[in-house]
Amino acid sequence: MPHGFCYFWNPGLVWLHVVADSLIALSYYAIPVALFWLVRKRRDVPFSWMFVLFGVFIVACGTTHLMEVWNIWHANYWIDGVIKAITAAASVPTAILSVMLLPKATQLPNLSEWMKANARLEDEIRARRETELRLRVSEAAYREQAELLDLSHDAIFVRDMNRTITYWNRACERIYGWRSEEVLGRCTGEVLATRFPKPLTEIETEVIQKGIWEGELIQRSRNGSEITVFSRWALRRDAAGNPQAILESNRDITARVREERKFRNLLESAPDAMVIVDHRGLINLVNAQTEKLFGYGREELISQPVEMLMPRRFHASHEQHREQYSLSPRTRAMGQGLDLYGLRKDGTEFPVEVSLSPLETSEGTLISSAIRDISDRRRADEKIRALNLQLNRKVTELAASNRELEAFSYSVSHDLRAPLRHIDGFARILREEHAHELSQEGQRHLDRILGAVTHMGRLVDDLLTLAKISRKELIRERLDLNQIVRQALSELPVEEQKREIEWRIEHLPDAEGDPGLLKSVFANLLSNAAKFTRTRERAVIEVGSCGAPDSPTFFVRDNGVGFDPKYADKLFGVFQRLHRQEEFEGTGIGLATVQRIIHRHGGEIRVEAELERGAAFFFTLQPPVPCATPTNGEVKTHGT
Amino acid sequence: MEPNDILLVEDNPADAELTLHALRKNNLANNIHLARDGEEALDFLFCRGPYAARHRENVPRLVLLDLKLPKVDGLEVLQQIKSDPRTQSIPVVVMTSSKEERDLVKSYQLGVNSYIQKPVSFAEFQDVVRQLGMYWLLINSKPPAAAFTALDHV
Repeated sequence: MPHGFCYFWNPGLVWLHVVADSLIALSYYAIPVALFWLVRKRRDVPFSWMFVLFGVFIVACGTTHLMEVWNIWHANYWIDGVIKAITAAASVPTAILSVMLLPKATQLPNLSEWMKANARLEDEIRARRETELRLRVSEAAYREQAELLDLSHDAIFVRDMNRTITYWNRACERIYGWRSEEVLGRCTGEVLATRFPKPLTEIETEVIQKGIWEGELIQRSRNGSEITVFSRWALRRDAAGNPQAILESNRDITARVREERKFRNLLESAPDAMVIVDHRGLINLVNAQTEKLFGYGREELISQPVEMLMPRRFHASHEQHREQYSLSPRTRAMGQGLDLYGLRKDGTEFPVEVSLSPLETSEGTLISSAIRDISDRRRADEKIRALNLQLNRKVTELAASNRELEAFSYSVSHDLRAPLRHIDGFARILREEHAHELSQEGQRHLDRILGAVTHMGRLVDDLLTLAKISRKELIRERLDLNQIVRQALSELPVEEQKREIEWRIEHLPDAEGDPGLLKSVFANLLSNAAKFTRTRERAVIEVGSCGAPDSPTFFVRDNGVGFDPKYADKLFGVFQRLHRQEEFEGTGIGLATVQRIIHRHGGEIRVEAELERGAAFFFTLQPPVPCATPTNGEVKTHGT
Repeated sequence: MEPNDILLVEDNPADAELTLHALRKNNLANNIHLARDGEEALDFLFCRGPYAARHRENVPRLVLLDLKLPKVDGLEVLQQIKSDPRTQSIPVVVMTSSKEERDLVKSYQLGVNSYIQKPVSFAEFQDVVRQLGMYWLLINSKPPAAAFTALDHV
């Protein structure tokens, strides 16, 4: 029986139940939807499984109400009962669990507490955000600073109090060759093998006391090369004031130190005493030579007035000069034209030469003076003067002896010739006017006397010519040698001119020389050639030149009797003859004269000859140039 | 005193004799005066000292002058002859052993008329003397008397 019977099918009552139950059911169904939405949206809501259980329970409740409506018209009370049982089954654990949750649920804040908490949370979030921002800013700043440190040319690293490296900038990487990641965490001593000016512990103590230290260090780079750095150390303390780390900033001064060492070596090894003076005239720097030269130790000189190195009489003027020099400093010698003296520590003076030059430095213009002890030079000068004096005396003596020689040759020409003339004269008178008083033997003796006189006359004349050539001033002019040869030929002795000689005279290049003397050369050589070909059936005499046109070698060659080449070196000596007088007359002076003329021209003469196969004279008129023996002519085989 | 054709200035007796011999050989030795040094030569020419009595117009036609002479040397004699109007027209021939260039130069600068180096060979010497005598005494016209006197009034 439908449940409506219980309501007597009273429409009012029935619909009241229907509407009420339907609304309840709808509401019940709406709740889990809302809960589901809540759980979905608020995953942070605690105990979500509780909501599921509660949802099931509500849906079950809603369904029981729906069954109430259904059963008004249908009597499915079993189904209704089953649904109620399900509802009961869901409600019991829900109730049990709710009770169990209660203590926890009571801990959940109430709304005002929630709001307060919320506000707190918001504050916290804000604070955290601010911190985060600050942190981010400072991190950026830190990064920026680190980057800035990377920009530094100086090697900068931080090491803690255990000497462990904690920071290593890019300049460190460049200077030492170690990458940051290779050295962080390593000990400084191990990486840099630093040589300190004093024990490291002392330096560290000083840094801890004063917070700072600076000095020069020698360190080693990765590749083993030494690096000199100027190092500045700064101490970092932690919040409690305990030493935490040391920042080392190292400037690479290796190159500078090397330059300084070079400069110092240069200064030290300078042969002159180098004294460097500041604008007040105080000695700034001296070298070893200064100590040696002046006898002072370095420490006695530094910061002393430079005037201590000169005799007192120069002090006042020197101070004045020094001031003037400071006004327009330039490199120059000091006290030109004056005799300068240095003063040694022991009070002795010595002559010096000083040259000054300005030296621009960071401390202003310094004046560098190079001081040279010129005692030796003075002595040498004096020696030179003495030698010059001696030389002048010698020159005077030489001039005197030259004059004597001239007088001698004058007197030879006058005084020796006169008696010769007399002998010749009277002997001739004797022969011409008193021949009848003499026997044949006597006349022959007279002839011998006359022959000897003639020869001696020629000797005297030739000797005088030789002497004159040595004294005569050499003329140097452009000459047509062909003309000179023609002149020489025309002056050949008459008897030679009458002979039949085959002259092969080449065209000669122009030459520079003394016309008179060169004519004498050719005259001698040609008359020699004529003389020594006298015995030849067919006499051939050649004149020519060879070699470069601007430095020719001239030659005179004959096919005469020649001579043994082993005597070639004797040929040019005065009075040297290779033939007997009765074979070929001569004084033995001609070739000596020729050689002297050639030598006076700066040239050379040599002879190539062979006994019975002719002779060839080669000569130049300027310093020697090699010459190939020409290949024509009969004396081609005349090798020496 | 006889007028002299030649004044021979020569200190060396051998040279003097040879010269005279050569002149004689060529018939030129008629009127020769021999002066044995430079001083005597000048005394003779300027009629002073031992020659003070000599007639001034009697000038020699030729002076043969050696250069190397005692007291006053040949160049000095030449200089005095050629710088005095009374004697400068007299032809002077230097005859010397010297071939020194400076003697030659100096002689010509002083106005010598001829310069001869005595050859060593007597044959040549004789020839030279012959030519000299021929030239200066026979071929060459002697300076007129006016050449010596006119200048007195200058």
